Amino acid sequence: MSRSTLILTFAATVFATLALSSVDFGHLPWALSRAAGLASFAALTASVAFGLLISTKASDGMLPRPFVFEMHQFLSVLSLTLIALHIGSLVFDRYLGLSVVDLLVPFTSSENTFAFGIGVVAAWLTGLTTASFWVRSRIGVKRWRKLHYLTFAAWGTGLVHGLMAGTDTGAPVVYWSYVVSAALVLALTALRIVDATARRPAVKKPATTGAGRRVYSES
Amino acid sequence: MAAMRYQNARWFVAGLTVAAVVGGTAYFMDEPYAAATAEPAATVVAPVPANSNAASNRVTNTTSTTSKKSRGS
Repeated sequence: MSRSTLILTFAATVFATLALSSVDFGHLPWALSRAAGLASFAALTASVAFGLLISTKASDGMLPRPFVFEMHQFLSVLSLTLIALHIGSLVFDRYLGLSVVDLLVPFTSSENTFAFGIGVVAAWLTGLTTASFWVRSRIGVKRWRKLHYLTFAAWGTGLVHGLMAGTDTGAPVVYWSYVVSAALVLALTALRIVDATARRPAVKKPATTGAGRRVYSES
Repeated sequence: MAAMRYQNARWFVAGLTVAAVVGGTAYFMDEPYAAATAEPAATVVAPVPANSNAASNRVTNTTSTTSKKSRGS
């Protein structure tokens, strides 16, 4: 898809949303927003997990690396699309009555300010990290890597938003999906930290044996 | 090219996601939205009969249990 097509699609979506914002769709936008919100968190978790599988090489030998990378990138875009659906459908919801500003600018809503605001932060961070895939060659790998670490912040703020603002957090299936998601990401992050520590080149200090022979320690 | 090679996997995940969102929306649509969003009913006090004394006054509070449900996003 070319850049002009993407810009036109985005502009048409924004225009259609604003044009239809006065139409009463009843219960549908609220139900759609809840479903899209839960699906977006699942996709974001899967994307983070695939990303950590790449960096830890934990899936090497089980899954082809190009496949893991492809899924990581695709799920990131999918998550962003679902976040757009989650936020976009709330424009039509008559119950919460959130304005476009409330939905796009963090901590501006009068109701449930922190819980909604942190969700907006999560959305922007996900957008930023997803967009970073396409500017990697332009900004360089080092900067891209630093920017990519924001994915953890995006996922964490998304989880906090889900736990604090989610209507369905109390439902066992949703609650346990949050627990499993957190356990998966935390376990892979711990593996990543251990892996990075182990790969760090050891500082070789000269040591002297009792016999006066100089040797180099292993670590 | 990886993007072309794993096209089927992408379609599978996309299809699964659409099914989950549509299914989830349908599930949430089944919830009694009208009851959940209805304002609490006003307290109704039964009229006191003219010939009654204070002990026999019947005051009935019929506050609806379907109060406005708090919702997040």
